Amino acid sequence: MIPAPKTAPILEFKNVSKAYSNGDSTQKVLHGVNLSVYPGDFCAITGPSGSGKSTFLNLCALLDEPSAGEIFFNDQATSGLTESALSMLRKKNVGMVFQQYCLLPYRSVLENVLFRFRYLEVDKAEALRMAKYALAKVGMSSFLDKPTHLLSGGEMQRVGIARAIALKPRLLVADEPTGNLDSSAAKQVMRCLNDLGQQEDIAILLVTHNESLLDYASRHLRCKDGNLIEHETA
Amino acid sequence: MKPLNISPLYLDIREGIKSRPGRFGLSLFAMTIGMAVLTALIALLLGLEARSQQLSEELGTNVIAILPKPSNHKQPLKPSHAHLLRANYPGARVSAVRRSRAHTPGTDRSLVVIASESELVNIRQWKMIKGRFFDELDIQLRKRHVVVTEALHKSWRWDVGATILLRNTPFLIIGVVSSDDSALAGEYGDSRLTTGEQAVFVPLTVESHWDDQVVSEASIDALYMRPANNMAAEEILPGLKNLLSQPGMDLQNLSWIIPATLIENVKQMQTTIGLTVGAIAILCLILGGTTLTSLLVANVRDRISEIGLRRALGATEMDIAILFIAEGCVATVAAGILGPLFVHLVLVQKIGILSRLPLELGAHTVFLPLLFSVLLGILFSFWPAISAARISPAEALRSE
Ligand SMILES: Nc1ncnc2c1ncn2[C@@H]1O[C@H](COP(=O)(O)OP(=O)(O)OP(=O)(O)O)[C@@H](O)[C@H]1O
Ligand SMILES: [Mg+2]
Repeated sequence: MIPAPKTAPILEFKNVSKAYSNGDSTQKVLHGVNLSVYPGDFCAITGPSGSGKSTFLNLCALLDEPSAGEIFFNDQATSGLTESALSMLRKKNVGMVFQQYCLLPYRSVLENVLFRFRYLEVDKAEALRMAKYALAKVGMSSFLDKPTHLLSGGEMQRVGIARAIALKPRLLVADEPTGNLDSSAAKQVMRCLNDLGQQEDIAILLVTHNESLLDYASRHLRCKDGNLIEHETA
Repeated sequence: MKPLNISPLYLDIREGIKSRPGRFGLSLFAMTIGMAVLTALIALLLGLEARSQQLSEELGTNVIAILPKPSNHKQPLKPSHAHLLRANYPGARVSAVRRSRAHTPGTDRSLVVIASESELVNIRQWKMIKGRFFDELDIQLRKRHVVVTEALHKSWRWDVGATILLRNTPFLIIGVVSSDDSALAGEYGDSRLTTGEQAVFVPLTVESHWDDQVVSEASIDALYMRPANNMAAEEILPGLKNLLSQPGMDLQNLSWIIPATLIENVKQMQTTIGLTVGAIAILCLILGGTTLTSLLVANVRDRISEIGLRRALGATEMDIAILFIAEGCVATVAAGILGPLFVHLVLVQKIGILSRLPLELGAHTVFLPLLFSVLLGILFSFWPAISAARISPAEALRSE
């Protein structure tokens, strides 16, 4: 069963569709998606390649706008917002984790995490404190000054997660964060995310192809034929 | 602990530059040369502008100087021509001038002796520092009065009331005149118009016993004229030429110099230099600029996922555009500092032909290139910056 809503949803999709038009043909990727995500939810999203998982995550992260329907972020309709208002909402509330980690190669672990505050006005000392706290959470405290290109894949992804949670997000989206990791590193990352979600009350949306990782999630959404179907979790 | 950085813009820019040091260097090099040439150009044009101002001031506003052409070995001008001008142009001030040299006992220097009429000081608009210039009476009575330059007054302590010897003839100093005309002596002036620092002025009518060469009292070296106040030198020049080229006057080979003539030479020089040097500067800057643009385009392509990350972290389109424009401006502003710096260092050393050019260095040659470099930075990085800003964040992250 879907857990009874404890609080208001952080993210709500109402009849959301997304179509891409290339030239004269339009490709409907998502249509009529209705979904609510609550703080503390850990949603795993699976589905065949090209089914629209990344498209869905981009909509959740407010990086893209739906073709139809309405996305409510924290009870606020997002369709009428300007580019800068969306940026503002995103930078304060959304953390993102990427399959390719997206770390800045010339910078140290700590600098990469501090990059989370690049477009925010945060006191330096405060930012440093939060970055170190986040790195401690993912178990990377001993690598602060190490350049990121010298890290292993699992370590890089933990830095990526630390960056995403350095400013405590309301929503964390992760597109195949374990895609490039072996199973033990992947499990470590999943455990890390699971702990974070529960401790910090963060809603997590995570795309994965690895069915064995579904146990770490509290909800399972399957993306198929342009829709997201809720699956019962074991 | 390394120094803390929450990735301010400069750190971002440093990374952008580090990613393609070769192309950045090439662009910087071409830009620096362009900026150096541009700085020299500005200095030269300003210098020439100042020089033309100085030239017309030193000749005197609205003054006409009439001289035989240098090739002319005969001395065609005569004191009577001065009378002719006076008669035909009432209200005009006219003075004939004869130059010669004289030794003064007690020194081994030789002085330039300018024999003139009383109006010369008014025509050339020189200031009397002390005493007076000789007047009509001095001329008529052939007084052995002399007026000395300020330089002589200062360096040799020649003062009003003292008597000096021009060779063996004693002269009474009656005045000190400020007749600075260093610009006229220079490249764009006409040395025949100058008096120089070591000059004394005597009445035209005093017999010149001081010169070794025989100076014919019947001929003069130049005529100076300032038309009455309501007439401009340019306007009366054609009539004046007609007057002095009447048959039988034997006055074909004359140079007619007015301030506008002197300025004309400088203006021509300005145009020539502006076009040639300007073209070089523009070529260098375009070369540097296009290299910079291609560098930035490549940077944008390489850093698409970084752009996506920045957008995901809340950067607006403007933030992304500013990032690349700032990167471009770093290259051009660096050139805008290095180029002028190089020119200033070289010019202060006064090397070779540069020291002979009237170059004017100052705030203009520092801040104009700097301002220009910022504009160029924006111009050449605008397109890559805009294209980077237009990339949708979702697509940028997809290209990971
Ligand atoms: N910007 C775009 N323009 C046109 N078509 C697009 C665009 N982005 C995605 N698509 C198309 O939308 C469909 C869904 O893409 P999406 O990336 O969401 O799939 P996915 O489920 O994430 O696949 P994968 O598991 O391979 O990552 C694909 O067919 C893709 O070609
Ligand atoms: Mg995908």
